[in-house]
Amino acid sequence: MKGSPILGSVIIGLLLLSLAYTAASVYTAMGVERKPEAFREYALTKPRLVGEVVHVQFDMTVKRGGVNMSFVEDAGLLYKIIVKGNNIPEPSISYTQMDGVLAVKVFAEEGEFEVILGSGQVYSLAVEVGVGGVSVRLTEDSTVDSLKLHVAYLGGTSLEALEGASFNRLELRANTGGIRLKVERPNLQENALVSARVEVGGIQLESFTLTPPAGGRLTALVDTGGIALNSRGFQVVKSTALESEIRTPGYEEAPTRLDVDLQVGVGGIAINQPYSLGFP
Amino acid sequence: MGFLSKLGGTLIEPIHTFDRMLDEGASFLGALAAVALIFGILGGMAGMGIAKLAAAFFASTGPWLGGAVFPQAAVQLFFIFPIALGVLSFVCVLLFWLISSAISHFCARVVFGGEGSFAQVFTLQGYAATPFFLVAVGLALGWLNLFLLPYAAFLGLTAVFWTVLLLVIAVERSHRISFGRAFVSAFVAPLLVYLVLFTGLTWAAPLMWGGFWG
Repeated sequence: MKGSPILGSVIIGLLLLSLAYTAASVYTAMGVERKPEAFREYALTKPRLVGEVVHVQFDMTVKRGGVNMSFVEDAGLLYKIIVKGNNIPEPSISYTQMDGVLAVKVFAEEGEFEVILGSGQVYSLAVEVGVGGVSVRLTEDSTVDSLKLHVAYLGGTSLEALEGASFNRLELRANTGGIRLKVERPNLQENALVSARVEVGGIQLESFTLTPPAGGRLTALVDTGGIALNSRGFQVVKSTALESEIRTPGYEEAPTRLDVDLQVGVGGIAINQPYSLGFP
Repeated sequence: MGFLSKLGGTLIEPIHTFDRMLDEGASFLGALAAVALIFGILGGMAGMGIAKLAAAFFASTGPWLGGAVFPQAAVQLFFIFPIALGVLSFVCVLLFWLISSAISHFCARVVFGGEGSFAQVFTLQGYAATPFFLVAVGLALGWLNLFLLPYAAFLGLTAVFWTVLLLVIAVERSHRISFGRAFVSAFVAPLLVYLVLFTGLTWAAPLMWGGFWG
């Protein structure tokens, strides 16, 4: 029995050693203890250009990754692109300037991009992602003529047009994935259109509100699947499992109108539904 | 007799160690501590492995999701899975230990006329799980190098056979019955009960399913 306490200690020691070694291996393998993420920044401001810029055509393509776009109150800023991540290939960024129009082209194989745009000019934006996600937030600092978001293969798009945001045409496309939309009392200068289409997947319209006297109309169409509609103060013109239309009272006479057109091939559309309900 | 002596003695001199524990009227709390330590650590290690797999999945889907999920989720997974599986593993083993001891005791006492008590069988069978520390060592070897996995399998098998042997000795010493009768009580009877339960559930599940969905 002399060796028993020693053997008992060895057992406990081996158990703790095994646990510590496994923890260290997994911790390292999982990359929890990673190097801090690198940031690279590419920015263009008006003082760096000769001549005036009143319109920016911003065209961005990312094959794999994410784009997060927002606006700030800075009349001199044309764009700022922040690339996050280690070992991310250098994106290609070029621009040309002619007659007050600045055309910017961005191409990247992969990466996570933060795009910040200024408030001193009108933007025409086109963002295409092969596989990944795009998120755009329009606020009172944004003046957008047109916005096209396209997920070519797989992924999601999120668009928030919040109070005071000014735009004419917003177009969202996703092949397989989802689109999340939020339209809350935008600043409509003229009749505007929001169009969203998903081939396979779903569209969630979280909220759709307008500031009177602006009028709004929403049409939703699903080829195979269903629509979950909560009209929330809108007049229901049509409501079936596959097709819905709602309008604000006095839509026809409204001085400015916003039309929202939602289409899904296979999947569902949820309008003003709590997120947990999901699609029908 | 200290805790470490009981653990070490169970492995190298089980008959002598179990007899001394019976004489001293050893409390089941020591056995409970041994089971909690061994299976808590084993569950934690298994949880780390699952966390690693889950993190690898998130890492591969991260770029698709715009890099939003990894590595923030990985940090949480690293802590959640091992803790959850450590606790779950201990609770499941505790339940299994309780039921198996009850069956062993019932068989030894009622069928073979043993003279031990349930507390004695329960306590000794708890210490009988000591060889399972070898499984933890095997898992660590697997993390060290995948080529060492056959050794991990060998350690796992050794742990199982060694534990079965100790379970039988535990019943033999506590009930003072022959080794063959103790083997039937500690191994054959519980296994038979689990097999009957499993077969019954397999037969009953479709009927219950049919009853529910009709």
